[in-house]
Amino acid sequence: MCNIAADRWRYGFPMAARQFRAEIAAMLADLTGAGAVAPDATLEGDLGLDSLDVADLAVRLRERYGVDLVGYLATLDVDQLVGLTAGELADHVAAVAA
Amino acid sequence: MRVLVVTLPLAGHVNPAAALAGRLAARGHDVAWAGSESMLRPMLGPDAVILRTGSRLFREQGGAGIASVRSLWTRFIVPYARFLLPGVEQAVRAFEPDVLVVDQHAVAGAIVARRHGLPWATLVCSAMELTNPYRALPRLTEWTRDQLLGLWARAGLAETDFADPRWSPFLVLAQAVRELTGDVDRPVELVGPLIGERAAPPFPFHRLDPRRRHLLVTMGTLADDLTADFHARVLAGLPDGVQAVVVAPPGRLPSLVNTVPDRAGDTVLVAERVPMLDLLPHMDIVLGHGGVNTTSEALLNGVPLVLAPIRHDQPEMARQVVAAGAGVRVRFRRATPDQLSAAVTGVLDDPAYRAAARRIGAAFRAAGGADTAAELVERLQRTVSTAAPTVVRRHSQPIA
Repeated sequence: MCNIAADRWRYGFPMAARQFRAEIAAMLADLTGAGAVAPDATLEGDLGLDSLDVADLAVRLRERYGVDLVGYLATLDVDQLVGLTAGELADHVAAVAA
Repeated sequence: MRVLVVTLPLAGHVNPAAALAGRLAARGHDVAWAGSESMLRPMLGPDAVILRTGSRLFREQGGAGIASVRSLWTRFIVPYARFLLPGVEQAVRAFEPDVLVVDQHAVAGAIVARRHGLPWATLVCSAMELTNPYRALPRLTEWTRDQLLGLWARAGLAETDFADPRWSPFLVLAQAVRELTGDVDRPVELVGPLIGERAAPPFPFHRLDPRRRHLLVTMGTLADDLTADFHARVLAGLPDGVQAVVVAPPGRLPSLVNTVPDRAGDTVLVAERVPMLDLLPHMDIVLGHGGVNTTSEALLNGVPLVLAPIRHDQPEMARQVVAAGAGVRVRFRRATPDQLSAAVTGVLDDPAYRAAARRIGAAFRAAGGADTAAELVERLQRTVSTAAPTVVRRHSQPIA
């Protein structure tokens, strides 16, 4: 698996937001067994993400991008937590990791 | 002593409370229930004293994750508490209990106990609160507190006096053991599952084939399309040499059997209800949704599990079982027949799962269950009556 810091070192520019969206979509598809994951797919409603999956996803995001998922979720209110989409998560990861 | 039990009108909450109530009654105490007679009577039998509150049906809750937790609160816990408050208030006045036993999510019972200055024991029947997987989300915690504060205010209690009604300051009885639940960061008595006498529906035990291994499939009482689809995938992936007993609502029976037309005779037995405690000793593995009661009863019998959690506290229950080594988790919505087959075979063929299930079962037995819980309720009553011989009844006005 490639490493973001190494990529940045190699290419000299941050990964595009589109790239983050594709990677996060692939990560979520792998985690939940869903086929394609659209950017507007809600993690809970469309992908069925539960507390177990959040724990799994947190490990993957930390290892891959150094992103603190629970720290991010802790800033969201209940409606935002329930409505969180794959695209929003990817954009957050892009903002933090890029 | 006089004990008033307040619980939720659901089997997974009534059965443990009934086990405790039965032990208390056997020890000479007067036990009464506040709740819906039409819901409670079939589960409690003709001799139970039920102080009727009327009954109201609430919709099944959907969704997954936090959405399911939110709908559990807004569609069930809160409206049920509002509905129950006047009835529990009347029951306390009529029965004059010394102590209440209140389900953790039957919040009305705790609030009325508080209004009357009565001691109460919280009975934890859910895996959600003890090791809350969402506790790191402060805005969700705050939202939940607001739900409780609304009920608190409705009962005429001051916000400045607020104390979380999910946790009695007197006694919390949790159907858990450290070997399964891990460390719990609040004062609770881990008494293990509360299991008492209960009606055993008939079951054709003679149809269990001694040459095959036995899988019990029990996904709770929600009769939705997702469960029907899950059952179809389980049966499509049923490994050879395994006989399945499927607990399913009556509308599902013909279609379930038809999903395996190529399999001879008794490969799949379908029943609406089963005598769970009598049946589990015959089972090699349980495939369930991670409800606390069935999961605990499987482990008590040393039976390992494959869990497909759907919502509410079920993912947390599954996490605990997996962490303890007593089972594996599969995806309720998306596991394929091949994945389900592999999960069942994997658990059946590795004796480590059964060994872990037996370890937890032994810890459950050592925790004492309903007997220990009954002793703790007695001790609570003795302690409180020694410490405060006159109970201060500050709230004498009825709840509107």
